[in-house]
Amino acid sequence: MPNLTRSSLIGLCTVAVTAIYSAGYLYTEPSVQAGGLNSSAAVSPLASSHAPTRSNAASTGAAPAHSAKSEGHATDPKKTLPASTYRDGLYTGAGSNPYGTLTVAVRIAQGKIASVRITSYTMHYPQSFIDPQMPDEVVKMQTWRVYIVSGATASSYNFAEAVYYALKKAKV
Amino acid sequence: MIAENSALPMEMAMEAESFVLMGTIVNVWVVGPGPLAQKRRSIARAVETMHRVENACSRFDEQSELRQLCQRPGQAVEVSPILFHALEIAITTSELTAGAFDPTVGRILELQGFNQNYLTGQTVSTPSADDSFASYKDIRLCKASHSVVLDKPMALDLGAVAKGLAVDLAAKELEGWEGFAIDAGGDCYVNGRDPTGEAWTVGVEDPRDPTRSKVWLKLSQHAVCTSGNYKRIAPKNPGFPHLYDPVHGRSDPGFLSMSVVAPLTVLADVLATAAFLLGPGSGLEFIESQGLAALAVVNNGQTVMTSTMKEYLR
Repeated sequence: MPNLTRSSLIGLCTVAVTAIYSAGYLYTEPSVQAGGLNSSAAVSPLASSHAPTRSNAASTGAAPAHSAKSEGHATDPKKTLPASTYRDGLYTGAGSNPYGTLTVAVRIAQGKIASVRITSYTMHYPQSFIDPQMPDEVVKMQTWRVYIVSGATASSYNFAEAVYYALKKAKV
Repeated sequence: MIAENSALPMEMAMEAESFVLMGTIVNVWVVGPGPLAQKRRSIARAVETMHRVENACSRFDEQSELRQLCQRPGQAVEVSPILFHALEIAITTSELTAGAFDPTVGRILELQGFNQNYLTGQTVSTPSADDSFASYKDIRLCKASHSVVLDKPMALDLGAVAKGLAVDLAAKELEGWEGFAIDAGGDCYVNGRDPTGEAWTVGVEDPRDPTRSKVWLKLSQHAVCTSGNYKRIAPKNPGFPHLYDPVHGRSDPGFLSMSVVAPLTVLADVLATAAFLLGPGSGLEFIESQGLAALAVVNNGQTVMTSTMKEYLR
């Protein structure tokens, strides 16, 4: 039977984190890229800040760092797509949750996100909750990641998810 | 629940990135002096770590270590430290709650439609578990060999443990920065200072109006996790939420949401779900008995909390 200390869940959790970490298991596996999505999932090519007042130093500093000093780490988010690496065309993506699905069509022109349209919508909340605010935001920010502000609901997530998959197809 | 950054001008450089991971959006913030490239490397390591945990513990990927284990009932299976410790934490929580929390509810969740991989759209199914009536007591762990025996066919669900554990391990990769925060779809860990130089501010969603925060907490070196059934509804049965107490056969014990503050995310995560399932009769007392703080919204909308919670309120 399990050799468990019933009284101290906090002790058990502390030991777990320390043991897994010190086992070195996290970096010794052969398949570094097992997750598959992480490198391409790194986002916010423009914004590097969630704060309403964006630090100029931070965002201007971000641009050169994108191309400079690649360490060759398999999952390094430095390899974030600059907005100009999208192929021109029309791409679709879908986001869903147990309540429903929404699909978007993202148009890329001259390597930039030119427009985002919600093409089908079966969510339980009114489409007006997110449309046109979120599509406008994506065009403005040139990223699928809409700001996840305090109290963001499932709606913003599924929209972001749909745009994310559309942009993945548009990747050069 | 997310970390809120104040509208004050930023005093320190910050890098924030978002990822699609573990069925949700994960936000990572790193604050403090230091080269941007270095911050990004730290974040990359943190995210890589979370992927490892997802690959070990996902219920939605037939190739995950967890699903491979479920396909071999009756055999001693050697597992990774991640899966072993995650199972140990889950089983201990089951014992502490006399089975109200039980990681073997996976089959019940599958049948209600919680069975689709968020990336591939493929579904998982464990029909062999249908008549086995397995419970957490049918999982045996052997510490010496890091092996697991499932005495009956079962579909394990580590949803209340894996994300928290992933956040804690990711946090290890961010240690050393003046401040950092990780928000994995409601599982939130903050450390050090926020970009304004203060402790981090974390909002707890109002379950009756998820566009608002019920309360604001001010903390550092702590996790906040919230469990509730108000967001995820079963595809096949809208009345059946994703948190379920198999002992009493219930998923609505009387709370709309339960938030726990703890020094580790995995602890806050698993205890929030456990206390949610225990219900208003003993949920808060259970958290107090673990020496931790909790805040809950009861079905009638009333907010209740442990006395220790007040020190975190902003």
